[in-house]
Amino acid sequence: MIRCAAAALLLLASCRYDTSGETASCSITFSGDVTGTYDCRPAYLSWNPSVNNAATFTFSLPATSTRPEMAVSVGFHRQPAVGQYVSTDSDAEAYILVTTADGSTYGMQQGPPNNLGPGSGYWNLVLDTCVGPIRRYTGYAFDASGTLDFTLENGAVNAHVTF
Amino acid sequence: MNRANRWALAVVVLAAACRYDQTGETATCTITLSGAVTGTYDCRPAHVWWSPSVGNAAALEFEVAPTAGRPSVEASIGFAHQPSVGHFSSSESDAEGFFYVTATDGTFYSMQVGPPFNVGAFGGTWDLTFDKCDGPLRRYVGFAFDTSGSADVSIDNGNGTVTAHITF
Repeated sequence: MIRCAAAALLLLASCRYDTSGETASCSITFSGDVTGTYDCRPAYLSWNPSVNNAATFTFSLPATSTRPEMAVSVGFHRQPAVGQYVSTDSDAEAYILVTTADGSTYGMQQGPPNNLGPGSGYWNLVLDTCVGPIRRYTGYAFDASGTLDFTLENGAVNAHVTF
Repeated sequence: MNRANRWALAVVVLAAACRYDQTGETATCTITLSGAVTGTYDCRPAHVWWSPSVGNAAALEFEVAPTAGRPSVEASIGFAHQPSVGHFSSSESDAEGFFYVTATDGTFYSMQVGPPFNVGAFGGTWDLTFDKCDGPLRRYVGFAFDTSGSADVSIDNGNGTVTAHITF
């Protein structure tokens, strides 16, 4: 009986539903034309070998009365690992769009379909931890922590993300 | 059943209960675009989440990362209450979210609902139906749900009309 109880507790603890590809924290601080610090969870790190080997760190948050709208996806074409990734890497991709309460939009798009470079934007992703791959329906997720910095439209908007 | 068999059964049942691959991520997600942008694409991973502490916001969200010859889609549609089985639409008072499609020629189609505009749907409409909505499942930011259903989105922001049908 004791062994059964111990096994049950061990297995339940190992489930860790709350750490399967979703970052434990995500905080974004804007400066420039957009300001403020906001919770950006849920944020995810995923990798899909079957779709162009694409890996993305992403969060997509509708606006609230106190938060701008944010669609942020930066990534590359390989399995994520601890390290630094930047928008000048040859396989870098990004889609970032921030909409403020007055309707102003700031964004960048890098990679297909237009094969544009980062243009007037720049991003820098650092993965301090990257635990996985964790099998998901479509590819893999990772439990990650680190930072993301991006600048949009020649510095009109800057952001620092910790996750 | 002897003690050893009971122990083995308990292990199997508990291991199966973990279901790492079903914690808020939809099992399937297919989007079919028509109108100015066409095609059918896999839109996984898609998630349904609810954050009572951040505006009570709940959303179905997914991204179709662009590849050569494929448009990109950024989607987050939802409302400000706990998700449940049922039908929800952009005409409801607490509807919110956005839906962006970038065609392969770079043309941008967008729809936004709720804040920051607070004028209802801007540039289109959405309808969302949850046929299944199991949860809430505790997550870092609140809760996730294991869901299935469909969504229909219509965009007309002046660049042309794009409609999307999503099954998940």
